Amino acid sequence: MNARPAAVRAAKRKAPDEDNRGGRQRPPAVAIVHTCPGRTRLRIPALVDCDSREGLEQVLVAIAGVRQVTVKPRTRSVLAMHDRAIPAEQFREQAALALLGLLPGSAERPARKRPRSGPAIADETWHEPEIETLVERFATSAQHGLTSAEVHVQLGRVGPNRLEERPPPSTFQYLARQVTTAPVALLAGSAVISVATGGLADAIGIGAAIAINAAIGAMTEQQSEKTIRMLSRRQNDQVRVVRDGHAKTIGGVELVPGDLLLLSPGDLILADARLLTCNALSIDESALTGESLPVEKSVAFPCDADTPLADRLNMVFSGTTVTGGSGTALVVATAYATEVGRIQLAADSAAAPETPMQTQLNELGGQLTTASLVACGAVLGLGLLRGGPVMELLKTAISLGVAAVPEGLPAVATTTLAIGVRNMREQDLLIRNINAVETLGSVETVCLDKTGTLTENRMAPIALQVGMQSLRVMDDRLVDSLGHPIDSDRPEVLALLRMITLCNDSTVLSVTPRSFDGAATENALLELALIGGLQIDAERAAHPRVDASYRSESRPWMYTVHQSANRGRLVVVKGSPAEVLSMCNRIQSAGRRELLTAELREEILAENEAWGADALRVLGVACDRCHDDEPVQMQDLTWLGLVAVADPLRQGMRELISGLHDAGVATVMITGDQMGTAAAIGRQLQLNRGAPLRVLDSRDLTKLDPTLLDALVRETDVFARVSPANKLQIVRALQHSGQVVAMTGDGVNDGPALKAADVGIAMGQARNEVARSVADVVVKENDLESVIAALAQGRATYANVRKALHYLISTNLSEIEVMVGASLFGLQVPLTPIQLLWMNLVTDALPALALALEPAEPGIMQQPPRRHDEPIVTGARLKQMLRESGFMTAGTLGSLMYGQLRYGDAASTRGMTLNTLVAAQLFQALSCRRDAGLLRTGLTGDSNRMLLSAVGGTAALQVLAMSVPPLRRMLQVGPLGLIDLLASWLFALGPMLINDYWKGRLAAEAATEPHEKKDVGD
Amino acid sequence: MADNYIFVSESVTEGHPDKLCDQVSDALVDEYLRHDHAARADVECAIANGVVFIGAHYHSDAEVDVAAAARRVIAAAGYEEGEFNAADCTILTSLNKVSYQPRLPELPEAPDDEWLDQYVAQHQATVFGYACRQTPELMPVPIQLAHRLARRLDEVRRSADLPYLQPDAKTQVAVEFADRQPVRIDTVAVVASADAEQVASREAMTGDLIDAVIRPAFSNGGIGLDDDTRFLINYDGLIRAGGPAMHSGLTGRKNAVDCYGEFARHSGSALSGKDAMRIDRIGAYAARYAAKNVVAAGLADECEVQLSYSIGLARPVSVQVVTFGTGQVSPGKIRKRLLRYFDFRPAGILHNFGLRSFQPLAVYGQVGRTDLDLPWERTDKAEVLQ
Repeated sequence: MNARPAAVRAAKRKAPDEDNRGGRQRPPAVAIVHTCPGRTRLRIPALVDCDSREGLEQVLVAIAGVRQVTVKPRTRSVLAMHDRAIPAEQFREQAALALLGLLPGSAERPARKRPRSGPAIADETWHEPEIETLVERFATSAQHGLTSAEVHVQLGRVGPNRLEERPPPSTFQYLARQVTTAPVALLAGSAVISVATGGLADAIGIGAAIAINAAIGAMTEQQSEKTIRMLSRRQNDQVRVVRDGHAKTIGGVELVPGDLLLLSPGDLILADARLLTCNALSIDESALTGESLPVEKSVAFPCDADTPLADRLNMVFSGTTVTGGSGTALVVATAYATEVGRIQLAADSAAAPETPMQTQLNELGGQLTTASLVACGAVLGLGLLRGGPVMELLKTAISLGVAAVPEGLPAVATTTLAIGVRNMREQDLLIRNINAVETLGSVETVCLDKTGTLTENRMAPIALQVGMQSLRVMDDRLVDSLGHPIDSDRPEVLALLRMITLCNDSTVLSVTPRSFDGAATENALLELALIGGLQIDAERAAHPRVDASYRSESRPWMYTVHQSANRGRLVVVKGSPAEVLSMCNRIQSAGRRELLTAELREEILAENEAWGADALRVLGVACDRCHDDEPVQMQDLTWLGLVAVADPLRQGMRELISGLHDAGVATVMITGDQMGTAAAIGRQLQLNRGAPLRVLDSRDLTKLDPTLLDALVRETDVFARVSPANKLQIVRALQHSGQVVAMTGDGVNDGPALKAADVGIAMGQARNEVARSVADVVVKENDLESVIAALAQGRATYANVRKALHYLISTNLSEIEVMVGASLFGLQVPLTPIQLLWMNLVTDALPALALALEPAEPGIMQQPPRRHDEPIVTGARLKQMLRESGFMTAGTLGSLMYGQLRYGDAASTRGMTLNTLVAAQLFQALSCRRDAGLLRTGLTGDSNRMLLSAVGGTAALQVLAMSVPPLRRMLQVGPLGLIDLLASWLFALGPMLINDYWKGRLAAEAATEPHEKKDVGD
Repeated sequence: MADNYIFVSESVTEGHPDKLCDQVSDALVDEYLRHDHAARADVECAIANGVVFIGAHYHSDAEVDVAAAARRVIAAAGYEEGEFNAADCTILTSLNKVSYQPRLPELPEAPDDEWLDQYVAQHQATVFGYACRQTPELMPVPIQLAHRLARRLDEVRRSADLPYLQPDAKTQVAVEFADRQPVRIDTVAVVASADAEQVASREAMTGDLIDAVIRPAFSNGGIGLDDDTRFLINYDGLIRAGGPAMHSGLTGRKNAVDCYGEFARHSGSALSGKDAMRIDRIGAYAARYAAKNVVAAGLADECEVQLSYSIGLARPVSVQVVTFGTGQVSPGKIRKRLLRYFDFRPAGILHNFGLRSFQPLAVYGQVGRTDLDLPWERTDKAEVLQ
């Protein structure tokens, strides 16, 4: 059970098959079908062609630590028993190597097994021949691409460019899956024994129970898997190609070999293609090769047939992304002919993947099954010792087994996760990877990429200084330092606004809502002019530009020259305040120009510096008038003022950060900004939560000792001056230091980090496809706050699985205990097989599934996250379950003894017992809703209608069964008086109250104890 | 005490990691002051494994780009390329904005007692000041010589006369004393880091250092080298790189270098990284000021002044004077005169010294400097003390 975190990461970071695809000899494809410690089932497609089963078994048994191997060529599977210490993955690799040469290698699979859509030319090498050969080969043109007619023909020949998912199982298959399980086999055995002993009614009852359970199981499983399958479906990806001589955008499925692909940054490549031209093209091939750094491509790179995949620099591959540069490429393979298509064929795993939680639950289910079978044996053995009838005892034991085996466990996990996905979708959170739902619940650190995530990734005007007065932009108005709106018609303000409009290359696209076309800073200046009410078009028309000179490395300012109607020429300068100011000798203040004294200069520069320290970008503006024929001279200018712009923080970011901190989640901001800017924003966001703000300023983290970085990342609130490639390092370092990391981002360069993070969160309208394609969760634009909702949902989902589990295990334990306890104490057999089955039917699956719908408990985001390495059932929880089942058992046995005293009659006594046990389980379902007990917390907040109906309905059924004579006969219970009915319920209510009170007390103790939560603060 | 003995003091260059930390700390105090005249700041710095750690407690609204300022210091100390360099070393900062300390006061023209008493010592400190007649600046000779050597090393490295020299170096001078007066230089030791690839041989480097550094450093005035003076240069014969890539540094580790080279007592608390309201820093300056004026006034040939402060009191709880038997008048009398003519209250010292810039102090010693116009090196009170 403790293998969970490793399993999470392994599932998350699994690199695709890393066999050396370039080599001649390669091992056959081997996939793990199922594994538990000591036992692994492999699937080896190549086994189909094998004729020496024993030979292969001998080879595989020779692997160190392997005890027994069964090879089944017909099902293409290998089952191995091995030392528990050997991980399945290691066994898989060794098996693949051992079979090298004995079975056909993965690439040499016969063509007949490739689906019909695969092109016939699939096994050729595309990186080796001359480009011209390929162009000829596909009858295309390196300039004009294919013609529509050719595309049509090709499409008919090779089929659409799509990796088809295996069709989902039919309803019948789901049903079949439900009835081909061990518990059902047990039940069937029980039915056979019933028929043999003349209990036809029993057999019918058992049959009904099987049918109903199977129907419920199949229905929920089908629903859930549908939701989960939806996640992996690609949405209509678009590509740019040249066809008929024109560039056009088409859907990825329409690509055919011979198409001319246009590549630009952020593109997802959807087919394998040979490069024709490229310009500093770099590709992230991590999806294919596991290499996390982008690969620089080269058209002329010579390759031969043996060049490994990762070194084929003249090729681009489907499933990879363009991180920089541009290029054109000739599509050579689509769909299953692509490298990624081959891998998918080899992996052959279209089934919904099992999440770590499901794996854990399966294991747990196995252990519980063993435990209940032992209990059955005990009941049988004890009964036989007491000389009971063999057949009856056998039937009882089998029925107990059926009732006690928690067959609902994996279904509970699937259902709960699916519900989590659906709930998140309602909150506009798109889950792309089912594992993310449970991982979200254990996120301990969130890395926030500043630009485009915390900020709006644009520039907005913040402040200006005119005539030595500082003004700020607030609520779309200019206000003075006291917050009073000022008149923007004041001449010195107007002068500044006019000049920043003229010396500006941006254009206004629309006024409401404001939208501009141009550089971010200049857009912000135009926005300021609009806020000041300036008529931009009129202003520009009145002063046509006649000349301009732009800023350069050595000259941090630009100027434009404009024709004035009657007063010669107007020169406008804007740029670095210090530089521009040094060229001025006068200053424009209210209505006139004054001499720029040394004191004024100092004051201006001080304001410039103060704003700079506040993370603002500051520009100085000056102007000059000259005659038409005069040359432009950059001296004796008139200073107009300072303008400060900044990338504004999104609304609600501070609340987001404090929400995360409240939830015990540490935050880390990553930015390329200078430290001053980064620290100012970190402080604004209160990333330091009252402690000293810790900023790590480094241009190149790769120079740092990795172990040192691991230690430092935990102590850092803000990473400043970080290059994009370092984001991945930060995420990895946090993970090494034991944190479960979520990362937000929206850019191309965030891709690797998003992927490496345990949960990658992309912004909905991410600037490019890459961020979204590798993210596990996509949140709506401008709604990063929903990250909190996602974390809450993740936590609630996990909590619900645990609650359902708690319910299932504690009630099943009580059933076992009642049966074993009665035998031990020499009481009558408490419940007959049909009664056990009835109980299994009404109290097992439905309340557990309903618990999965439980809304998040209030306060769930005021607690620290669960430890990611904590098993879903801890020792403490197991103890609690045993205690609770013990009280339920005590109540039930009490009821049994009461019945025996009162009726002496076995049937009515069993009625009492059954009634008590069913009621106790229903009460337990209610109590499981709150971890701290219902009595202590009460039931405030959302109600769970599903659970209430499940409990209410079950209770009604039970009352009905107890009061309608035919049903009573079928259930083999005798009639009960009203008083006894009430008494039987009291025997159930008592344990529930004790249990609930006890739970509340434990929770209270835990709350007052000093939290053992790790110190994420200082 | 024997009549003849040898005393050894050491100094380090500006590229020594400990001194680098001192300079970063003081540069940041200056940086806060530059943005905000009344800023208070305590800045600690440590360098290890190529990572610079800076912890600052400051009382100011100014947002200082701490990392940029630190990089400027590191670059100025000569680390512009190589394994550890100003451009891409990693800087981890912990910035704590506090508001519990009073900010630096505006200095009135003529402060009255009420104003002066208002600013009490916020730290307990026992600080020492010392002066003697061994050099014109009234300092012990060994430390002054060690500083001269360190300074000369930096000059030579900067002028690129010896292109292989790297910023990190340590100097040590052993001076023979007779009757508590320096008579000759016994040993000169230098450990200088160098780029091994550019050094022709160990012998060449030793020769270079003796000719270009040591001899010029001791040529102007005072006791000089003699034929028996020993030179220990890179003691183990290895030519090695130095600096933060090789060993760690910490603010306040070089107290003796900052003061009297262990010839006289110095306080345990560091000087660098503290602002002008920290009595454990400015108290040491005030004590040196007092001691120097006592010697300058001819009241003694050697004088140590000790000041002890308690938290919450403006005046020192203890003022002691020791003259080592060289006094023309009794220490008790000197003490009385000091109390009459010197104001040892924090605000008094601040008003008298008007401290605004600390970074230049952080290398080559904080007392006995003649290259800087330091108020505590003035002898303007000598006359009234006589």
